[in-house]
Amino acid sequence: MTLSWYWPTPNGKPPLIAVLSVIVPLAVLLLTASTVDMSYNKIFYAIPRMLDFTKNLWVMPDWHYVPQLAKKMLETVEMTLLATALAILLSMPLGVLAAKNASPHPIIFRITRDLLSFIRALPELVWALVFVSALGLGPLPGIMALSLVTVGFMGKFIAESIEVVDAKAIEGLESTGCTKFQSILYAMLPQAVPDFIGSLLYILDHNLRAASILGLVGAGGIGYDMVMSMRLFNYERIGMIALSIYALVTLLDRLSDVFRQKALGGILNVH
Amino acid sequence: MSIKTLPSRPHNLFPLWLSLALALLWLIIWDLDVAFQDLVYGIADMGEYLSRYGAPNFSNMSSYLHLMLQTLVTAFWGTTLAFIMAATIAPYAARQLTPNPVIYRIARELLNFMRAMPDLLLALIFVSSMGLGPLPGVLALSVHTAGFLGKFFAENMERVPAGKYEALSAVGAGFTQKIVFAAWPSMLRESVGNVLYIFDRNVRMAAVLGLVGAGGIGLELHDALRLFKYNQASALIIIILITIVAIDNLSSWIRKVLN
Amino acid sequence: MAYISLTAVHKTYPNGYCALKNINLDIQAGQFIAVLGPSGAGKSTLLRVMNALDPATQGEITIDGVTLNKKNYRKIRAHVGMVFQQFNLVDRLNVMTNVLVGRLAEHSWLSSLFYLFPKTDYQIAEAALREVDLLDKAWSRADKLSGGQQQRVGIARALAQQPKLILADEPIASLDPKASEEVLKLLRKICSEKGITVIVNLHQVEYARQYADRIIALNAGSLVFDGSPEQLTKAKQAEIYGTTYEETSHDAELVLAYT
Repeated sequence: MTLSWYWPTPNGKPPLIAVLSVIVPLAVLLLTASTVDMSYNKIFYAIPRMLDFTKNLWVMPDWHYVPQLAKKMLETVEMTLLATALAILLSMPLGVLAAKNASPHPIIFRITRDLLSFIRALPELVWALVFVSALGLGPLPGIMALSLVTVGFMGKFIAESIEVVDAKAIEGLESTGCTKFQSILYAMLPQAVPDFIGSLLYILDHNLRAASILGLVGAGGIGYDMVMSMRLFNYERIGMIALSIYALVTLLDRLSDVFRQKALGGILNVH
Repeated sequence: MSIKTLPSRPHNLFPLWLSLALALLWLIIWDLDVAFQDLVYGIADMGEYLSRYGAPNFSNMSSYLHLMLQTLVTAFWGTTLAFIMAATIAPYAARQLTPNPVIYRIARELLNFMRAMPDLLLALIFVSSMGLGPLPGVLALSVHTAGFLGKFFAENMERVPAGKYEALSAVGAGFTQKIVFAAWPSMLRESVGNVLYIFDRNVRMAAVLGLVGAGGIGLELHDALRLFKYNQASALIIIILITIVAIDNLSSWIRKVLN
Repeated sequence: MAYISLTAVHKTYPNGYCALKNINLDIQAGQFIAVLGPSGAGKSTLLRVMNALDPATQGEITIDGVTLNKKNYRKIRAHVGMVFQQFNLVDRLNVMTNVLVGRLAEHSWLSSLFYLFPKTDYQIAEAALREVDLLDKAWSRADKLSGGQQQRVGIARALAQQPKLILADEPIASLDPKASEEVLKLLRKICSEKGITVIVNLHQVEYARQYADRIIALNAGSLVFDGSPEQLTKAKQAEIYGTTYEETSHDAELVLAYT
């Protein structure tokens, strides 16, 4: 005796949106499988090669490489910090210009807003490609690429924070004789600080990851070493590089967690 | 009340932190030997350089579009596979659902590891195992973003009020049943937002994975720049730009509709 | 033989706090029992050791001849329904699905993965909803109902398990007086008509007197009273709640009711 099974809806059939959200992606996947060369054979036969690869990683680390590894990792961190700091600096005035209620002129507002969207839209590596092509190799193009994209993100964030400030609070401050700009600043800061910190931690994490691959195009950091050691099958180095990146990213992750708790606990005392 | 009886003002540490930060930055600039002056002097050069991009050359439009499509599809595949992996691992990394603390720790660390490995490195490894093409890119993206998505999902599951899980325990429900009837219905909205965000990010990453031979439009851009074909480069950049902006707007629209 | 028996039951939490001290209790099938006591007395814990949501640290609990141990929790819970103070319904799901959750213990994870239930389950759920008089709301989302209605859905969920025992942990603490009376009347009716044993945690002494066959009172984890409502004199009541006899007057009863 077979039981008839139903869905818990009035007509016993699954809701349309549930069906669509399963069928549509599956259909897209099936239709596009060839575009991505999806082939179980390829994956299956690659497994022994990958296991081989992992086996090869278990070699004695190349101790001679450590100084250069440290130098490059340090460079990666420095790029991240510097780029982020610059970006914060630049994004403040731009954020003001891109805020509807603080911008001096609607045209300036529109232009800045669109500019920020534009710089945000391209991945850091693409910008890095452009800057390397213009300035040559080294960390500078990498820093510029990171800063630019971060400005795009931070600028929008600051603009939005300014825009949601309560108009009444601004009025209240203006009535004491502040300029419009001052009143926005003072009305916005108290509630913006925790959001800003959260954003900042997230950006640092993102930028660190981005910085570690910019070297691929010659824009500084550990990325170049990473690619070269893969190409030359330098297993000792690959393992060390992967481990250092893992350690660094995890360290930043833990630090952010700690910092987040402390900052929300009110240790930060702005004024 | 005279001034003397006011409680003493809490020490304001902000200027201290600020000076430390500035000192650190100065140190970094010195260590990196970054020649900012080159940048300043080169502004005029920059202007001339940027003007080279002025006349985008769309003559290879159809091949560019095909590559862009491949990039989008790579991102889509990567995101769906990541979703499947993340949805499977996440319940084990959620405190209220995990069967025991050891599995919890393992699941959490696994997700952290997947997140920490740069997708580029994973792509390099997969390319060396499978050859060139978009497939290694798909796999690299799925493993890396599964880590992100898995963490998001696990956090969403932990944020569901404990009582919902208790009610399911009380009726004798098992692990999967708790996930299906308590966790997912309660976290649907945030999770959709997470998936859209990851897809967005994957489109950008897919565009550059081509640089290591993992398919997509990135390689084409790299070659164009290396051969100083700025006009073709700018055409490619414009295509990448338009696609990413379109995807951004699509995600925002989907998010709005779901609210 | 008693339907439920607790022998020398202790519950100590990992932080050292002892919530239940040496509880010995025998409960016959089909009784309606009210559990009274001040906040923190261990009323919730008493119920929760019975379905092992918070397993006892010492002692033996037997329900319908089966002794609780780590291996049979899920099996026991299948026939022990629980009603919660916070209702613990899944907001996004409709009422029918919330009630069907009561049937999950009977099915494997595979069918639950797709939110599928057999026709017989729907019949059981329908009967449960009819019993709590919410059939017309079967397809509404759970969070669109009033507090009293949501609690009745919780009761329907418990009924869907076809339980022999229902544990109600402060079911009316979040409800207004009218809804409270509805819920208690419903529980009483279920007990009388179906012979289901019902154990209810309450704060309001008057409700206990009105609805219960037997009253059990706890204070600081120990059993301090076990008898019929008639045996619960004002003096005994004062003992339970730790006030002195002279203080208890008609007005003080209201005060006690809200502690």
